[in-house]
Amino acid sequence: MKKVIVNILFAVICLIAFVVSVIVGYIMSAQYLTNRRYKYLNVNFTQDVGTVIKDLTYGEKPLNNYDLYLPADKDRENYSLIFFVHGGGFTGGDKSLIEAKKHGEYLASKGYVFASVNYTYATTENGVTINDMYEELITAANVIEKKCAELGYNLNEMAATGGSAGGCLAMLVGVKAPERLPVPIKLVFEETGPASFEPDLWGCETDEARVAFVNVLTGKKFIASDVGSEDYQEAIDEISVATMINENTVPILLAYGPNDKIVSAEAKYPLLNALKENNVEHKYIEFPNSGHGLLGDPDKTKEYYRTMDEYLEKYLSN
Amino acid sequence: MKKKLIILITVIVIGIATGLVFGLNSIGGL
Repeated sequence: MKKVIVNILFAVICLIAFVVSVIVGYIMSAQYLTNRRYKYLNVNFTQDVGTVIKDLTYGEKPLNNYDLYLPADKDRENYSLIFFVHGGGFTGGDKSLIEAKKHGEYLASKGYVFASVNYTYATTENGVTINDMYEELITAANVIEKKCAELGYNLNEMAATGGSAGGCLAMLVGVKAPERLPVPIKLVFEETGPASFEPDLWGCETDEARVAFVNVLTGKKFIASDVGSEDYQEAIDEISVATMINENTVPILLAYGPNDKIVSAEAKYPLLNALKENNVEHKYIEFPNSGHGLLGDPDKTKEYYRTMDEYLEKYLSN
Repeated sequence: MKKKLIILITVIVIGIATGLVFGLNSIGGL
């Protein structure tokens, strides 16, 4: 009898050990993939290289804040700003996520001023829309320019970047109304940002689904019979960067994974077509084995960051 | 006792390997 109890206990211990081991293995793989994803951005970010000033504010709302990564060299006449917008599905995320930190340290080490910016994201209660986020980011860019001047970093040009929802917002910042930015924008580079919110590209098959999708993103109150109306289309176009491309659009570097289950893989095509039609300088890097995190193609990761360096060198003067 | 220890270690190794493979496939393809 005692032997049976001991064996049962041992079996339970083995089962628990197995479950814990699977979780440990899963965490190890996530750690490995993240390190591999950002290894090209690794720098030893000491005070000789640069500094970070955290939690500066640009407005009164709780998420109107940003982190500044500043190069140690303060002697130059002008600096270029890299304006980073975090992802999080328009409903979450933070300026301190690992991608922000890695990009910030790397780009500050290259002599750029890097700002990682928070914005008020949408919750079920606050009714915040993509346009509201865009407006906050425009305010942020203008406040950051003034703050940098105070700190002795005179900005004379900028680039916008981000991933996922941040990629979408970075493109809007760079393309929608560049005259509202404090300094000329010269470049956008982004990963997996939704470029079109045309509901059919997102799997909406009925008019009810289409208006529900558009209403969530725009805060409008369309009903099914509005589908196809001028106002309805205008609301979609207002947040779809693909419809804003013209011959004056700045160069754009883009990266997408065809296995993306979060952002519609179809939504990039209107943007790619518009860039081609308007002869806008751009480069699209496809990560063939990746989804939304672009984690499955280390060779493409290398290509993306090399191209980012080339674009920064080519289009920014500082 | 020694036999049980070997079984437990084997279970842990298989568990970690399973987690790694599952993670690399699922997260890697995300």
